[in-house]
Amino acid sequence: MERDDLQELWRRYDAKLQTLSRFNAALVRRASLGATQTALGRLRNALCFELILDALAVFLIGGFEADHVREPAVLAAAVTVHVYAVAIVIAVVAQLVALARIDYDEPVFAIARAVDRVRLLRARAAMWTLLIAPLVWPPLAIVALRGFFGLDALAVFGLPWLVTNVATGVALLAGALVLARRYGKNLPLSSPLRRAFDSLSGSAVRAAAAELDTLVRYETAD
Amino acid sequence: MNPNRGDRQDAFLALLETNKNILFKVASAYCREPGERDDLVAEMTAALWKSFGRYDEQFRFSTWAYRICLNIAISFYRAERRRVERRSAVDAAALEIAAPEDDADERVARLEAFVAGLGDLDKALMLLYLDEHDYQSIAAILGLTLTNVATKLSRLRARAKSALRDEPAPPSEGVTDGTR
Repeated sequence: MERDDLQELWRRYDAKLQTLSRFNAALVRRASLGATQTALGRLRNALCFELILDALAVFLIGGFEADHVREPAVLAAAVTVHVYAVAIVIAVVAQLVALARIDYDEPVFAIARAVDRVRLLRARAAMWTLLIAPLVWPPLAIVALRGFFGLDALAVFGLPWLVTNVATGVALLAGALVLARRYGKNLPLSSPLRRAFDSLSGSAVRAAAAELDTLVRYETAD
Repeated sequence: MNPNRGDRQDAFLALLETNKNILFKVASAYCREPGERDDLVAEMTAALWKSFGRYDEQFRFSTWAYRICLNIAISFYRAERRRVERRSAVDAAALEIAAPEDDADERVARLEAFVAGLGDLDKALMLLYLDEHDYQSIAAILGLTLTNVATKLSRLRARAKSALRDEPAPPSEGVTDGTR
C-alpha cells in the first residue's frame, strides 16, 4: 500500500462525507454569532466566578480579623481560614493565568501541553482543597459562630469541643480516603462522587501528570 | 448588526461551508457518539469564529481550520470522550464498518475505523496526512519536528496497510501516543 493509495481511499471517504453530511445552519449561525461558548470559555467563566467568591471570603475574613485582633484564639482560627482562602485564590489565579496564555492559533501540541498543565493545576488544587477542608472545619466553625452569632465557641464549649472537632475532621478525611481508594474505581466515570474521589485520592493528579508525560514523550521521541 | 461584522460573518460561513468536511472528519475521528459529534462541531465552529479575526488570508483556510479543530478535539475532548469510548467502543466499531456496498467501500470503512481507533495524537497526524498536507505543513500545524513527523507517519502507514489487509498490526516501535 503506497501513500497515494491510502489518500485515494480517504478521498472516497471525503466524497461520501460530502454527500452524507449536512451542516446544521442554525447551529453554525449560533456559533458564529458567539452564542456558543468554547470549553475554554466555560472553564474561564467558572474560574472567574470561583475567584469572585474566594476573593469575597478573603475580604470578609480580613475584616473579621481586624475586628477581633484582641482575641488571640478567635484571631488564630480566622488566620487559619484566611490562609486557606488565600491559597485557593492563588490556585484559581494560577489557572486563569495559564488559561489566558492558551491561543487556538498555536501548534496543536503546544496547546495540548498548555491545556494538560491547566488540567494538572486543577487536579492538584482540587486534591489539596479536599484534603485540607476537613481540617479547616474547626477554625471555620469558630469564626462562623463568632461572626454570625457573637458566640465564643472556645469559651462556651471549651477545649474538648475543639479536640472533638479536629478528631472528627481527621476521621472524616481518613474515612473518605479509604472509601475513595477502595470503592472509587467502581463508580461510573461520569458521576460527581467519582470525580471527587479521584481528586481526593490523587488519581486525578496522577492521570493528568501521565497525560502530560505521554504528550511530552510523543513530541520528543522519533 | 454592524455591517462589517455581517460581511465578515458571511465570508466566514462561506469558507466554513467549503471546508465543512474538515469539521466532520475531525468530529467523526474523535467522537463515536452522534450527540458528541454535534457538540464538537459546534465547539469547533465557535472556536473558528472566535479566531477568524486573526486568520491570515495568504495561508490556506483549510490548514488554519485544521489546526484549530484539532486543538479543540485533542485538548478539550480528550478526557471526557475517553469516558464514553470505554463504554461504547464495540458498538461504535460495529457501526463504522457496517454495510459496505463494494470492496472499495469496505476498504474506506476499514480506513475510517483504523483512524477512529488510533490514539488521539496519532489520529491528528494521520488525518493531516490523509488529507494530503505535506510533512512540513503537518509539522507546523502540530508543532513537531519534520523527522518526528516522517518517522511516526512511516509507522502509522505500515499499521494502516496491515489494517486494510486485515493482518495483525506490526509490533509498535518507539513511543506511541498511549492514549488508547
